Amino acid sequence: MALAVRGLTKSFGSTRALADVSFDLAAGEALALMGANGAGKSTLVKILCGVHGADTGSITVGGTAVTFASPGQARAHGIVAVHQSVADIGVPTLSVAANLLLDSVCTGHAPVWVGGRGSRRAAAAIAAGIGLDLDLSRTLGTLSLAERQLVAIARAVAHDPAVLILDEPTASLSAPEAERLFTILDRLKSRDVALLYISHRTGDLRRIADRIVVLRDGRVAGRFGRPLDLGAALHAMLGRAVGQATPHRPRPETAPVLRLSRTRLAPGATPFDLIVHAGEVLAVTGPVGAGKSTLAGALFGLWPLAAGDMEFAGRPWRPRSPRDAIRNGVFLAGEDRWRTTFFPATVPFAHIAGTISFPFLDRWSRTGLVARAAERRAAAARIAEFGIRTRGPGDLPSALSGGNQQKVVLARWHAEPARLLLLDEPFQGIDVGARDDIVRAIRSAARERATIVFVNDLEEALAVGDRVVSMAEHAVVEEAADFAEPGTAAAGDPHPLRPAEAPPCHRPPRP
Amino acid sequence: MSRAQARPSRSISAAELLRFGLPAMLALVLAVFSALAPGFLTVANVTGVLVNSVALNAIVALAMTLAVASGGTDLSVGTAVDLGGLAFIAAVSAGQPVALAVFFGLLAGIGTGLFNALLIARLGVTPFLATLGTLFIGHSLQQLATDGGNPVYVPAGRITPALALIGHGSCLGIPLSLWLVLLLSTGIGLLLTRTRFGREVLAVGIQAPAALYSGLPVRRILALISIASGTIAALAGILLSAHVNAYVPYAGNAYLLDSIGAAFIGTALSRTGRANVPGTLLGVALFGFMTNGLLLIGWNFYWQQVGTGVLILLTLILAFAGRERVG
Repeated sequence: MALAVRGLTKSFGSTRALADVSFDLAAGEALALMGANGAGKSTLVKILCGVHGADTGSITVGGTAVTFASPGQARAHGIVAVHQSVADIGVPTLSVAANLLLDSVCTGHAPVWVGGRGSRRAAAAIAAGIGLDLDLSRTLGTLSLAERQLVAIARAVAHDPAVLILDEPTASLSAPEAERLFTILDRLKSRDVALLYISHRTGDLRRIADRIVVLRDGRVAGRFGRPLDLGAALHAMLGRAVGQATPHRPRPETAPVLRLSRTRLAPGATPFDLIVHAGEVLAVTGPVGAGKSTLAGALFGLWPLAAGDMEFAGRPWRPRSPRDAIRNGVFLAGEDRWRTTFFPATVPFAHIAGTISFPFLDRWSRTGLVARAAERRAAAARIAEFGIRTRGPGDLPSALSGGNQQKVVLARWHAEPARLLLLDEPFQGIDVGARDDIVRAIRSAARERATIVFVNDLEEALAVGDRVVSMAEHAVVEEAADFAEPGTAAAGDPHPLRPAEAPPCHRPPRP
Repeated sequence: MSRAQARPSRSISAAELLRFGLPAMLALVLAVFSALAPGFLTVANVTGVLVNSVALNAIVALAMTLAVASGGTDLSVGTAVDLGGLAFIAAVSAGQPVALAVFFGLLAGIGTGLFNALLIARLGVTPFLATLGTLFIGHSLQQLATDGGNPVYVPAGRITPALALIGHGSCLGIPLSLWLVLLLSTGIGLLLTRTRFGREVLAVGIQAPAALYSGLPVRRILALISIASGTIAALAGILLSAHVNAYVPYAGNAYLLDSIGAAFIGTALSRTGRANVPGTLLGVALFGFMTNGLLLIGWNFYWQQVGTGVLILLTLILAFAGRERVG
């Protein structure tokens, strides 16, 4: 047995994060760990990597009982983790090669002089370890999230781990990129590396998991072996069946709100046309770097189009700035909510009320003073409307779960009526239950406006969109799926357990 | 378990420490010097410190506080002090009415701010570098205007009652400069904490992308802050020149370091870690009384900067030790 965990318990103050968690992980096996936000996954991972100590319980690695006082000790026993936020891992200004060698530098095993031919050879060996096909001289910061993910994994594998822990490794990957990762993971399994795989993407689990352990409220809520019953696992994870979102409607017979013609997002990119109708939810999918955020930013006035014309509500649309866009009712909830929406707690308006009111301060108060009471009332109304779990408008977003944070972002852009609502990756870092809530929230108010949702994940695109188009190389390349008939268990079904056999693309259009 | 239980009480005390760090430090400095120097805690001395050192430093430091709140550092506040003073004294010496001279002085500050605004908001230069450039250019301008740095004295015949009023006037026994500090502190304090524009400034300062995505005119806000900072600093220059009836080249540079020190100590020692008016004022007072106290106990002048330096480091060590515990 590569790893045996028995009776692990951990409390933080009065909060019990883990209660009597036990499981085994054999060499060459992939065990999936599922759990909603706050179920205890992160705590478990942190204990396994030596970040936290357990209160009670034992960890056995390769037959020896161990306790870790530091991540270094866990690593010495062969437990290595690739954490979720790969964007923060590594030094963005250094080359890929230097980043691959970072651990040996940091642990003092590197020669005094780094760089040069020896280092390049060592880095190339690490890259070859997982079949990483990248120019190692490129700067880490210029890589896509997917490529950085692979670099992070190469670094982890370089430790020759007995147990490799992967925390939502496909969160920012497109389908082909994820498949590339799975091929690497298959190879690791065949080399008897034990994988602890944290995810609730059903596609991932079906592809890679041999067994599933489900955590809920810090306890093991279910164990599942082959053949995997993902429905039951999801039920165990949420403690309820996954709800049905609003059935999707057919395309409304309304005037187009947005019309792009002969649009180029980058010089030299293929021109494309796009029409979005009022009341419609259009999902735009495609891999990281395909130009989804570029399109969103151009519509929102962050930057101009390279070429072509936009028409919004029947008039030419050339927003000069986000300010201009917001005034005209074009709202964008940006990717990475901590960069584009929330403010750090050092400012006095970082709370939910301040977050929601911020873009509309000039509309809500003509005097230049902040109408705090009105701001709180508006926030309280949105909290109720979106079912945000919080103590009140004065709470900080950082105190909320990922799903509730995202609901705050949505609540903000529903505080005033939008004519065109752009949502860039609204499902980032949230669990399946919260995803359903957010799909429902987006769709329930969609009738009054046009909505475009930009998502990496096709499953998410199908769950939220009336219509799905995909992008590649800075152009909209195809209608990935037409709207579905209401009531069919296809695009209208946000249930993440749709059989994978039915390819969701190229579904015949409605007669 | 025992660690987790011990933590709350410790973190509360650390937070309190941080909250009262600056007042406590000031109290400590006052206590130590009143014990060491008999003449320190007298009405005459305290008033002297407030009027001669704290008032002008406070005005410049308030300008700096605005810049720090918007996420930058204005290295050209001293330049604005000088150019404001130069324009003011030049106008007075040329026989212009004092009110017009004040206007010219402020115009020089606005000009300095506009130049920074152009660099920062239009050309996208980081505030630190842009204002450093302005600092150098301002230095040269003063050299050129004064034949290499000769002071400009107001001719005896031009020292009018109006000029004396600005330099030495008082109302209800409180000098004009302190009234101005009061006015500006209240204004800027309310601006930063209560108004929409204040929120926008802090938002740009702390998380510029989120400010942009929320529809703020980020560049315009940065430009306005630059101009405000230059104008306020020029005000200090006018007061200083009126007080000594002269313009002394590069005199403003003395205010630069103190204003940075005060604004950043006030920021570091606030519970939230953001620029704030009370913190800046306490920082200015701390510096003023420290220098004065060292002078009174007869420390060698050349050692006084060491005293200030040690004070800054002590305060910051205190702040960061406290911050770390608070988490």
